Amino acid sequence: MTDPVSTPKRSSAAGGWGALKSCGKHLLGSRSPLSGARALLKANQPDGFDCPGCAWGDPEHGSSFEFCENGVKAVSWEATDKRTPPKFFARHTVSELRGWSDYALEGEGRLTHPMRYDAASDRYVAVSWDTAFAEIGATLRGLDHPDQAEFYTSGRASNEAAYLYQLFARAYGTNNFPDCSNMCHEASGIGLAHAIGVGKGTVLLEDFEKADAIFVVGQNPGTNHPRMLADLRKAAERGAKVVVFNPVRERGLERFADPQNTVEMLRGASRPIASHYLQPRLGGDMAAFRGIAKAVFAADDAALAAGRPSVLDRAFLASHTEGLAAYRAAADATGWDAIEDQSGLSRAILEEVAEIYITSSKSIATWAMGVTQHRHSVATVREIANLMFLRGNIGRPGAGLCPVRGHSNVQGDRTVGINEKPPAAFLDALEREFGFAAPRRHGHNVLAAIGAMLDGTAKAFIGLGGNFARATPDTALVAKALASCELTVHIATKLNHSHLVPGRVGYVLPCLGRTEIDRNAAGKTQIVTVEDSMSMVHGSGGINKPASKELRSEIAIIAGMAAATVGSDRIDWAAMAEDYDRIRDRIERTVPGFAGYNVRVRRPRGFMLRNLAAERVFETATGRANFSADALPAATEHQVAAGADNTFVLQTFRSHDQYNTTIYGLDDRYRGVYGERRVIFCHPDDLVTLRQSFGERVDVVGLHADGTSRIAEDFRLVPFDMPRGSLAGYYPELNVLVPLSTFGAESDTPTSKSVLVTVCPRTVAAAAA
Amino acid sequence: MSTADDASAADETAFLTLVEAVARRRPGLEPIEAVLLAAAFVGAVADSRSLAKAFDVAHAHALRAVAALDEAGLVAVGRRDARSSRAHYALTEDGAALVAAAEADPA
Repeated sequence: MTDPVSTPKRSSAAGGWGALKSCGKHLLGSRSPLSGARALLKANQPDGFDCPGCAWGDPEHGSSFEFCENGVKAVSWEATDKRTPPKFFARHTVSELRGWSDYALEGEGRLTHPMRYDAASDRYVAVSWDTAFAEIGATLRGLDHPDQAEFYTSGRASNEAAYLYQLFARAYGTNNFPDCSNMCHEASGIGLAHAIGVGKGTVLLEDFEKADAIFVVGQNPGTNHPRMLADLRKAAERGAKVVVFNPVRERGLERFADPQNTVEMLRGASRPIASHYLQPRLGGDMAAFRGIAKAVFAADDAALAAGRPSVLDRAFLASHTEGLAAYRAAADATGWDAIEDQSGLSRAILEEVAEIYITSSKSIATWAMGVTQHRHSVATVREIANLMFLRGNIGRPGAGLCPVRGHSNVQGDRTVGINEKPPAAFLDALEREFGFAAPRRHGHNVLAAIGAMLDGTAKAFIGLGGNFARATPDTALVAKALASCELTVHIATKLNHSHLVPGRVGYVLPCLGRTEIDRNAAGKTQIVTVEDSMSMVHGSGGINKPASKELRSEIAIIAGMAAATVGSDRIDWAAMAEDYDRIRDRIERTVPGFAGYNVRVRRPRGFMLRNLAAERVFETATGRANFSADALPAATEHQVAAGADNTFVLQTFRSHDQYNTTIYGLDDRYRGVYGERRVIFCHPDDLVTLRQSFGERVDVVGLHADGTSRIAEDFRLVPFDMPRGSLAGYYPELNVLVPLSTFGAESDTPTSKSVLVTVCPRTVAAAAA
Repeated sequence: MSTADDASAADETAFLTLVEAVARRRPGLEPIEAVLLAAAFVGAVADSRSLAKAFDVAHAHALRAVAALDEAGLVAVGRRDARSSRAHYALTEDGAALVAAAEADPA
């Protein structure tokens, strides 16, 4: 490589060239950049870059971005100089690697070559792409039925990759689409579809600038959506109330220091965010919102009795909702004792929150996994929607419902067809566009896919990204499920534990990351598109060189597998992989809302997918927004645990140094944990009791009478501000305790936030096992 | 038009002429890549963020140009800022030679 030249040669040409010496100063000093050069550059941009860190909206998309802390980690993680080449796999057997931590595996760096598992040597060995595609295609064609294959999607997959993937699987003949959203916001999709006719949020980023009150439920944006904290902080600074519902007292929600504010950072200052921080018991959010609604109804009765205007938005309720009377009856029938016991919150504080709601003219409710990973999550989402309906907080500026997604394109994946229960209209459109008979039978979600692999019904697992073996509950069972397959294929950027439980035929296929420039055979750069939590669809192009010349894009890999499996007679997979505009043209013709896709997505910030509910058009069975009148659950896990000795309810959550199953480091600085992950957080008084009984380090044992032993071994107890009787710790390590048999009603989401456990000393649990 | 305005317009014209000459000497260069090379040559900007601001383009756009020219051996990337991915770069000998040749013979 030539040495860099830092000083340009001086111009010696005549006729105006000498003026170039001063040009540099003008370029930097000019308030208006060179118009001619700008015009020159306008023709082929702006293709922005979508940070894969989360799905929070981004007003600066594509411009001079600054990454939040999570974004820095996500981009750096992918841009590492470390490589996991074939010689690494030659040195380590798969059995040996199973003993490595997730952090250590990912720390080895980027995968560089397609690898095939060789059972004789228990190692992965490098193969060519053509060999991989040929064998994958032959194995899939050799199955008895297409429904024996499972096609898993991680939320990182772009719209284009996801669309091509579902097209491949449907052309092959199945709707088996286990998908990461099955484990996270499924309840939001189902609950909102019942309530407002669309399973997506109704707010835009701009609404956060206008809201008077923001209710943040079951969420930790400090760790999972740091840019959201900046928006919450701005809201708090202009006087909006930010009311937090979180059993664990998260520092990031209390105070936030803006890293963009140099003075504040130098002074070590921060600003408060939450005006009210409520710590409900795990699973108690539905009861809390029932209580708030009950108080709102009471206030309304009092106002009317006193001759004052109603505190409800009667016009909205009359014109746009159905079921208010039944909901009112349900609220009246729910006693305060039941509400307080289940929520863990007092009537007084819930009435105070109700007053905030009543005195705010514009309110937003946001939520995440603290709401969606319980048995009654769909009912909880609907309860939140119920409250928001009472004062018409939907479909107007500054108001609405906002489930906040953690993965950068989990919403987009569903939009473009990753759905095991596809709408008939979508399948009709695919048939018209591509000329094949799309399968109509509903397929498998995550739980059903695991069950099918365990009972031998499913024989092939294809994973488009992600770490299925770690992201799922009942870790040991899922590993067994994957290892029982005839075929496993993982499309990935780095090595993870899912790759270490290969099927009889096992492949790891390395792909380009979101940060890497993707060029087709002609050298033309490609962009992909994603949809954020606010239904904004925008383009993303890579910014770094690929980690290896052998890498292919997810789209190219899918196209290669598809061509080898179902052939190219009907669908020209290669052509779509060559130019992603062609994929977007197909999406435009088969998915509503994408008219002018290739043009609109290249505008700054892209475009918004129309959300009818945000316009107060509710495509529900009643044609209106639907109240629900569900009773509170008979007992939450917390209430069950309260009656039993040494019984706790555990929630799993992320540390500050991780992104889902990707472990960036071993610190969780907001919670004061450094250099370790095997920790259990508990109330200080519970900690005293537990330490006295069991010592510093304990085992945690699942309490489920299904005959399966579930033990998480060797965890250090850490005191934290959270309700008594609750425990918390990191996933994926604690996924061993989450049973497959306990899942949300309608959502089928594993109940990762409500796991009944007991605590044992190290020796007792190990001996019992 | 003032003398300063005249000078500024002359600078702009000269710069654009250089950019176009670079692009002609190296077919296949994206416009932003030609601009980057020319701007580095005249000592105006030497990092992706400044380039993006000076020419009002997306930072991602600038970063891609840096990556492409680094791959082509025309610039060498130095340090990067983790927070913004700002990439500092300098012309290599090949990069400087390309622009110098374009400057000497702009036709």
